[in-house]
Amino acid sequence: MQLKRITVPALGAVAILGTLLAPVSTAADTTPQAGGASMPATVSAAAAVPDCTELDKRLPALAKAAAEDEALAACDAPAAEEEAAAQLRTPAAKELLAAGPCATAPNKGWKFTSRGRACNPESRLINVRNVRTGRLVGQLYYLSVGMIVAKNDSLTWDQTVSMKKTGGWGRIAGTSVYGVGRCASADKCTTLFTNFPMQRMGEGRTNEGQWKMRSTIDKQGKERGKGQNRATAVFFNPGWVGVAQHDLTSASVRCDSIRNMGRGGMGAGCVLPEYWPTMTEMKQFPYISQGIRKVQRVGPHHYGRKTGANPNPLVYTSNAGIRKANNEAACPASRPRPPGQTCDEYPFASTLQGASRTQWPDWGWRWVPKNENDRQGYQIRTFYDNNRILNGDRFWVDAG
Amino acid sequence: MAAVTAQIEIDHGQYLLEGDAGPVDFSFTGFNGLVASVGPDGQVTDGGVWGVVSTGMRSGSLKLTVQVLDAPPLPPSAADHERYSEIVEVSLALDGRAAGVFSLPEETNPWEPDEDGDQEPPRTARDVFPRFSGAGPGPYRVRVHARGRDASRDGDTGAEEHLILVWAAPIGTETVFRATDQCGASLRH
Repeated sequence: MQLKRITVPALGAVAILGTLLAPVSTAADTTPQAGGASMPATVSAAAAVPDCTELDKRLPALAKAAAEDEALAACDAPAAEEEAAAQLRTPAAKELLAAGPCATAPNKGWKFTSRGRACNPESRLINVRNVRTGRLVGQLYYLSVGMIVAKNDSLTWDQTVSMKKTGGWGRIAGTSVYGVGRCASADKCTTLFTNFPMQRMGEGRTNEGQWKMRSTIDKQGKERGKGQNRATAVFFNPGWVGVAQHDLTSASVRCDSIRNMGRGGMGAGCVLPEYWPTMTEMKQFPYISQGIRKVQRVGPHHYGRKTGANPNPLVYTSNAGIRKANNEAACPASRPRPPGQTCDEYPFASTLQGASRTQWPDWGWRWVPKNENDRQGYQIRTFYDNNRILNGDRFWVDAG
Repeated sequence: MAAVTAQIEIDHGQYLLEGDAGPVDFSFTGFNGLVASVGPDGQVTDGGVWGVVSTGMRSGSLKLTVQVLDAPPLPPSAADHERYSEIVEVSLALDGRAAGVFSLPEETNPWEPDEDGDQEPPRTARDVFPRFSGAGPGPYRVRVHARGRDASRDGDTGAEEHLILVWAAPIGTETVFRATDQCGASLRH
């Protein structure tokens, strides 16, 4: 039996599906066709299925509207744990994940491996059903690894995805995938390009897609703003009614022109604020690090210590009034000072956990050699600059 | 060019003279006790890529005057020697149009522009004090004067004042015109 093309489904089915909120492409997101394939590059919102629970609900309506006895529809879903585990043992999976931070348990969302990098390994499948009988007539298993790269000295950031079919059965031959993506109007970003043309899925091939975004904050204007690439993978097969799709939306990337302006060569840049970096620079200062370790050990909140039952990060504040109050509470200038020593405090005055807002022994002070204290100031600032720490950002301190 | 006098926020007993060069650690070896010109290796040098001024106070703010000159000034006068306990001149090779004085925090008050974008961003040292590029691309000769560091260190807020003169000049060795306060003595070893 000849399977009809995507434009065939009866108007009734299209109208029913039209109630879906499908973030699939409009004309503006048209992606170039690889090799001049004759598949349509744009898909109307009406023809997309957000996930498999939705498809199950719509089968009766699709069956009524289907012109063919053997109309097929597909949807995308996460693989179950046992299936995912089996998939990770395939050679295709090993090739795609290789070594590295992305070789973690899949389907747990974006994993932040540093202040500028995140990855999202996913183990998924596409279910193909006979619309009339509801019977499962095919499954395509695939692995998808998404990556985000943000740079602390650049207002552009990148998202990539690599997909590999790892197995399947039934009515899946001829399946292709392509991608679309854009920043939403509320996002402080714009898409510079999308490069995820329609491409066949097959064992032995890796399907690749990439997007480049630029922050729309004012490069010189002391601004901060977040954005996400609202991306989607669209799975197409001429034998299916409509398409299946999977949301690939990026984690939030935050860019700013507040830090590092006019000094240090960095200028405006971007980070992944959900990653809370660890300051290790204090280890080189013997007296200071001893003081920090003590407060982290004896203070009931163990501020800044990443390990333990209920870790409490430090929270940076750009409020000069709070800094001043913290300094004065921990290290009043009137305190008689031994020669060559200055007062050191922890948590840092530039945090909401400083002495004016915290109860002893969750904060502490001690005399440390002046040049150790002066160098510490510079090291703290370098950590803040490199990690683009802004008001409200969380971080840890590992003092050894 | 006009001098600008304003408060600069002090943290960890210092403020900075910076341009495009990236931040680097600082070894106090050979420090004259007031202003260091620091090379990419973190050592005191002539024509360093960034500079640091040591203050008497550990934190707070002090009154700073910065004046960018068209031509080299005369050596410090008798009145200057009377007024300031420390006067030191160093050479700095700072790149970039925004090169000049920066505070350590260089960020003040949480700020988000309102919907109309009307709210003014807070002003930091970079906004307030004249940039050295007013004297050209450099290298720069920087003469730092300080008074009241000892009193400030002992808790007398308002005692400490600094004056910085900047002009374009070839790189030269540091000149210590005057070094008489206890802060400086304890830093020079």
